[in-house]
Amino acid sequence: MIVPGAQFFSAGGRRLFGVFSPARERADAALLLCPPMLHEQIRSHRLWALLAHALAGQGISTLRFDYAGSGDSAGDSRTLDLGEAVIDAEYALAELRAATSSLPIHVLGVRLGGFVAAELARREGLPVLLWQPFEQGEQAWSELQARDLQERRSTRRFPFLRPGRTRVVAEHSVMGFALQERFANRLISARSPFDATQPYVLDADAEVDRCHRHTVDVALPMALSDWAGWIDITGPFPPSDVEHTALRMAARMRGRT
Amino acid sequence: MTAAAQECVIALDDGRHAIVSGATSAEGTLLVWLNAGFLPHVGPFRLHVELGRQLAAQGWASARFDAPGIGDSVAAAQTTPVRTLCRDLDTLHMATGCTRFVIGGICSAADLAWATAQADSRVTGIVMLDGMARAGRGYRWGQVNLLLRFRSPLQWPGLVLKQLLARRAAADNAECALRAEDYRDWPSAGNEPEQLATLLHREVRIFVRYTGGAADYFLHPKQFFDTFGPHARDRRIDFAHWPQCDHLFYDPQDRARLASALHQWLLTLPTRNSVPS
Repeated sequence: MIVPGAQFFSAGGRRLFGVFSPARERADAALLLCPPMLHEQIRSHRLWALLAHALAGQGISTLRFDYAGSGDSAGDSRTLDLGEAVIDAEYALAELRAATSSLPIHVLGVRLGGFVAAELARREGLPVLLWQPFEQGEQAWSELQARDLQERRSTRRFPFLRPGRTRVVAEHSVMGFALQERFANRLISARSPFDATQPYVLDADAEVDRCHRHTVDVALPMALSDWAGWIDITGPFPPSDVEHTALRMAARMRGRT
Repeated sequence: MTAAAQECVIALDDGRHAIVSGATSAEGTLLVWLNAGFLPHVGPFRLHVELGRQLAAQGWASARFDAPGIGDSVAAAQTTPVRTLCRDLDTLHMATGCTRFVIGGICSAADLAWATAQADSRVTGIVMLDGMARAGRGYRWGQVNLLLRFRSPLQWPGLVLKQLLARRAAADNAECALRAEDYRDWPSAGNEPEQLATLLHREVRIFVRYTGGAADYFLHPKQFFDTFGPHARDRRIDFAHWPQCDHLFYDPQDRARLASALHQWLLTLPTRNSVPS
């Protein structure tokens, strides 16, 4: 069973890495955080550490984990796969359930993690929160490809690149990660996170920065939303913004308990 | 057993944790990957995870962790980065038995590795990826080369004039012309040759790569030799300029190239018995 802090845990023969942040006082609910993927997972890592810490102060125990082929979990990036990520999330959920006994559990999916969280929520009948979700997998894949091309044409990233040329990179790699073709296939055919769920949605304040047309429950301050899509870290996540967002999320989760 | 299966978590100060890859022993050397700026311990595009596991498979143990205030470490730093890192090395020594450390990484990680190596004799190797280098003539030559390399000679006079005017404007507005040494933690200019000599006297081995992504301050190999003086050509330093590679090793092939070069370099490190204590 997981314990407070960082650890590896077993997921059907695979080793996944997770960080469990229990509520600091009375626990009202628990949250399983399905992180974003690829460059966005690394870019936003600190935000989820801060959020879990803030939620712990609000009576919410949080388990953050890395899918196989991502973060500190076993496997290289070629093992990363949306279908497998759902299975990983099921194992993580079982660990969280065992550690929090009778607490009601919510699932948070961030960006591509929204596909994982929604699928898990549908299977397990759990309430789901979506952070800057995509409406469709095809749209997410298109955005990834466009960003990748933008990076590979950037003379800011590759100053010695001939202007107008595209940097050739390893086959099937996207946004700096080597992937199998099935990653794209699974993502493109993924069921919408909004399908048969009633998600609590946190998203960018400006409609133009959103990837769906659904109602947003929490309009995120720019400092908590403008990381999406990008590789380079441009500034810290303001703790006060994180605290405020955690407060609203905790209120929602308590309301559902 | 896979390299990932050999990994374990070790508790550090202030609620932080390190992940150690590979088998450790008192005779062995532990590689320590430091945060590249504000990027978490996995490194850009999981560089530190990939390197840790690939090198573990070749018999080299390594550790990755977050400095205070970065990644998983919620608490802010209580002391200087060098003191914190020395304390972390103490903890890693207690947990693994390793008494020799190769430390480093990209950008600020290289800077911290350099500074820590000056203070801690357990450091026997440094990995400096886009570490410090002063500008000077080599940089200006590199700027001209970068500016003109893909242009027709007919465009050269106009481009050079434009560059000179831009430089004059920057000089007039010196507050806006931020240079790498203004925001990086480098020693006072001119101290590098002496510091390098001290490290070499201790038999510290140094792996140095500058990428194209360091183009805002490094454009020509001459800069390295000018910055570090005559000892920069010492055989214990493995230096190369990789201009086609970016600062964060975006291309998986560049990361594989780095892993291969690092492995070759590690094989040249002296064993415990061959180094005078």
